[in-house]
Amino acid sequence: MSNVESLLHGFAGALTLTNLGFGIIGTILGTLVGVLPGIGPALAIALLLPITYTVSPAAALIMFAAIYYGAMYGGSTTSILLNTPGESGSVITALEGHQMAKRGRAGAALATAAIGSFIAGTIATGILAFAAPSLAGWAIRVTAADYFALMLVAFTTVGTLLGNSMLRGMASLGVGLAIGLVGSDLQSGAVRLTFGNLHAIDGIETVTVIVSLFALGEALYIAGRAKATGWSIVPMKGKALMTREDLKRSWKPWLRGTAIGFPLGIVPAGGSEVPTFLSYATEKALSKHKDEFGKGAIEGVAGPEAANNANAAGALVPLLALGLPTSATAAVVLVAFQTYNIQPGPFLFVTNPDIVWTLIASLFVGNTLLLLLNLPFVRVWVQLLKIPRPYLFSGITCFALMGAYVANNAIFDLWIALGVGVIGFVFRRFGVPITPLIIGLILGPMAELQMRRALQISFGDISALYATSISKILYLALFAVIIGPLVWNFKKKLALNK
Amino acid sequence: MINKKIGGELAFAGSLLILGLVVVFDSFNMLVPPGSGIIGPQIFPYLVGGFIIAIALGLFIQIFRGNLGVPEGTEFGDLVDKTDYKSFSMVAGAMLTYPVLIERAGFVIATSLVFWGVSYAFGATKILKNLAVSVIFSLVVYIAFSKGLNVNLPAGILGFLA
Repeated sequence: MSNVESLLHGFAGALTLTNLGFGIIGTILGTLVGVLPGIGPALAIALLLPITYTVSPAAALIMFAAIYYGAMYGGSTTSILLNTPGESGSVITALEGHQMAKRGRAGAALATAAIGSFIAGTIATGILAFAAPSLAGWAIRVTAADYFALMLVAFTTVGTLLGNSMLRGMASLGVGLAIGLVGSDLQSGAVRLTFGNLHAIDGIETVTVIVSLFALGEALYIAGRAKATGWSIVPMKGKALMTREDLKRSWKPWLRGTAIGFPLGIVPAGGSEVPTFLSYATEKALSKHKDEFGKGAIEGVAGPEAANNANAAGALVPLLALGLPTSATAAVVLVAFQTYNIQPGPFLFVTNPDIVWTLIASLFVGNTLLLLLNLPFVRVWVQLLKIPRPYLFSGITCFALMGAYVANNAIFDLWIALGVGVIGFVFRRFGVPITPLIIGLILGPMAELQMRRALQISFGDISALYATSISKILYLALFAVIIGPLVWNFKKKLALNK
Repeated sequence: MINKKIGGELAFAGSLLILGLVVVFDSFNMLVPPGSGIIGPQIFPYLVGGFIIAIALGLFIQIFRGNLGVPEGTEFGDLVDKTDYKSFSMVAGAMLTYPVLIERAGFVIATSLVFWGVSYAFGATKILKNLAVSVIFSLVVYIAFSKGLNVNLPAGILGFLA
């Protein structure tokens, strides 16, 4: 079957009445949770995972795709109306979007963000539908040693590109790798880092770690380290609509944002921070209204928002084709797949084509539902921002604890959640980024599996790890990622000393 | 003065070092099942432990050079330099009651207590109003999840109501 036929098949699966219903519920829930300040897309999806447990896989996938896009959309609403640079992908949106809102242009900012996200999401999902299968076809020939090299590259880029200290990013990665070791080793059955605890033999629940790092860690951090200043919501006047002039100034940034965001999602560049920033810089350089930047230029919202969504869709390419998450959100998506017993990777397109194509079709449907449902109801979402701060934090804390408990109905998981919450506090306090921990936790066991496979085949000969040409190229890339920033800093120092 | 400032940083790097040592030590003492092959379950933990130790040592050097971490900014107000231990321990204390009470007292009581404690720490100091909100929140969540979504939540001592 060709890709187009498979995709049409996928649409047939996604567009039944029941599945559409689940899509609508997903859109509403995703937006609802994403709009709440302090909740980014990764946490929103992780918090909503338990809800998708109870429905059929196809319905769960479409609901999930809707949550995915809904959470991202909700995040941009918050940053425009509330100026909340909490989640890395929305920092740039807040920059211009909030200024627009202050000047009474909140409606236009929300509209350009929503329509831009829709266009970028649709184009990017279209490319995904064709790129992922071909990448998977190629990836079937990738050896265990290549995979191991690829994961080392992912570790390094995620560890070094996030936060402002390479060592601290690597520290976060190390803690994640250590947590990933806990439990019985799948290949030999040896028990690691359990200290005699029977619950720990099954390993640490990934969703629990993610939810506690974000939610409990944040609650502890705000309580201990921030002054209670509250926030001010910019009131929204009029409807979420754009004028002809706005549209004229937005469409090129949308397309450029898509072109920047998608490829950077495919390579492990550590999430949406880099592409949204690049898109912003591009729009600023190309704009005819340079004087407006910093005071509410619509291009500065349109471009980064499109880049953010295209980036999220791009991250699905390595996730589906290689089973490799490149951002915290993609890592949560991987966990979601695993709860439905679907293992992303090159064989997914062979073993579970129905599921993949339903998912890809669901992404189109979810994205469209989002545009249709959200723009008219944006005022309803805005009401959510009025929840008093104390109740917001209690609510997030209670949902996180409940999520940790219901995964296995085990009190042991709750103690783990509290411990991880403290780690989340300590990391924030000492400027250690959180995403590398999540990537290490999820990719660590996979990296170990591939390394042992490669060495098993070669009877322990280490040279097997860098014997293929792909692995050689990857190790060169790895070298460049580590050495590049060092050289860069050194040059800067030299220039400063002159 | 400087010593006090880097105390926390040193404690952080120190805990990382201990974590690395624990991983290596655990791997060293691991019971390896027979037939695990040439590449057994110990190699990867050794690598991870060694990696963590190396990073911890690097952090020590960085800290002594005066290169300290930049606390993460938040969207909820300005950062303070000294930890507010009162609010922190109230939030932490409220969270700690949850694993103790969830199965003994049940979901509604445990959740109400956490909700009440956390919101009090975040400045909702009207005790009675707060309590009402907490109980209503817990009941609504309990009914929505246990009746609506068939998620198994412990009823606890309020089980007779269900």
